Amino acid sequence: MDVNLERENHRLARLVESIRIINSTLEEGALLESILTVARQELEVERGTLYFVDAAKHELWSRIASGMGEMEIRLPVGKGLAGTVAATGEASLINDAYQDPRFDSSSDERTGFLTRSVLSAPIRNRDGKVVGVLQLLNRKDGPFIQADLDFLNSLSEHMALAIENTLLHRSQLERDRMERELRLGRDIQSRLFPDAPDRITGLDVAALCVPCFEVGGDCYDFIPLEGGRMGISIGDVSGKGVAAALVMSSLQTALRMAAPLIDDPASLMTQLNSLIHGLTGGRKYATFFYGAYDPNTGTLDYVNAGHVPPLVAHAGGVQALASTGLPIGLFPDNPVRAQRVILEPGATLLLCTDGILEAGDPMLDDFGETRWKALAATLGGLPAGQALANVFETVQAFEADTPPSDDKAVVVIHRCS
Amino acid sequence: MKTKERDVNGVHIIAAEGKITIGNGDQELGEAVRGALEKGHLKIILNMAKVTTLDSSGLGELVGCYTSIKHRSGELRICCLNSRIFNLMQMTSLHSVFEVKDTEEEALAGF
Repeated sequence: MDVNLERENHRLARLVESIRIINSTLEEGALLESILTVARQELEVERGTLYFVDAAKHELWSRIASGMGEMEIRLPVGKGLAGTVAATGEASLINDAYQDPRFDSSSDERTGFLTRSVLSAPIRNRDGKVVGVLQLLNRKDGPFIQADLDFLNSLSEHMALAIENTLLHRSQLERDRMERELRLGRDIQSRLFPDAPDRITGLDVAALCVPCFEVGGDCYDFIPLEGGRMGISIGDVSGKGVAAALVMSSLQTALRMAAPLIDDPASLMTQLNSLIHGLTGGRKYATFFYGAYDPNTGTLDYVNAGHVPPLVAHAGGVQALASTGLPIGLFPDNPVRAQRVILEPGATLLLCTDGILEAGDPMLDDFGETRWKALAATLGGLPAGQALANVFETVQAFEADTPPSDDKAVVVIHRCS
Repeated sequence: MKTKERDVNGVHIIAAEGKITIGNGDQELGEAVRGALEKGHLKIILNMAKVTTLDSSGLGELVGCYTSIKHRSGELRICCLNSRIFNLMQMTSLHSVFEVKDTEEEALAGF
């Protein structure tokens, strides 16, 4: 056989085997190892590092072995030999590292390794974008030569594809993990919403919360109090998602602990305000309504800390329980006044969060207070479950195809006649 | 959200435009006010004539701006709220915290 042909066949066989090794894994550490295995086998080098380009942070990163196991190293694009290759896209081939001003010898000083020669090659994807840098140190049988670079260049696109697949796989795993945690969070949060209390209290109660994301910042609660009374709360933590849900859970837990111990709703609100302000430093807050209902007298002693005014629908019309203070958590001191309203037999108390008022397209027309009050006027005599269903049906019909942008919670409390 | 800033008689006016909602304008509002404070402005008017939507996160950022200015012994006035945003301020009782004026002229007067 022709010597050149034999050499070419051998080169192609090495390439195919190298591509097979590189494409044999989606796991980041294994990919790194497989690329370095190819480089070590084919180019006979002492050490090698594969850097991934983090375009968002304008950095290169890699994992290297250390005394404590694996550690991640990062360096800015443009700095050092690998950083320069990432910035310029030009390979560099240095056979006397200590004579090159770009070479950083601090790693040698730390590890005792002596770097002689360095080959740094960009790894480009099909679009020509540099997605990684392969850096090889100390060719064992002589200096690096152009043929070494040519070999790596012929593998570059395959290495790039493997890197991109690995990073996609990594982000998919991360997404899967977050989704699992959010589902767990949602399960936990749904258990924080209590079942409606039974008719022992003389009330017919129904409630529902529909979070916009997996977890949300809306909450409601029913808390048994001394003397057969019942604490009723609804709140809305600013923002959405996980941060809001964390604050909401703290708030709800604190309320359950404190409400049976503190009779005065205003004092209770002062305590909750201190807690939330202490937790968030004012960066998160909650609009919050809390009332202590006495079934013997029908009185509801309440505070409204900047929450959507609950409505009392009765034969004479609809009464709004306006704000009696600022939302909790905004300021270190927040005096909230307590008020009293009487739920007459047959009256219905309707509580909601702003996801109801803001349903629809806010740029065109949202559900708003006027529609909410008009709807409340039609719900007065209905069983609580029916009234709750009517609220969600009406709001969903109004929203039509507009995707919801906020959590929605509604509580309906009907005092039986 | 976009802002246009100018000075009138030693008062720094930040005119905001667009939405101030979670992840869309709330941080920019805070940055604009903190930037003005860094430049030494202590009398600040936030003109919200062209702000279409303010949500709970935007409201929180507004309170953050108010607190930052107060900590430096400055003063914040807010003007030209649309009815939806004014209602939100009223509902949350925050109109009692902020100095809210109908027009920019009213906000400037007596500063």
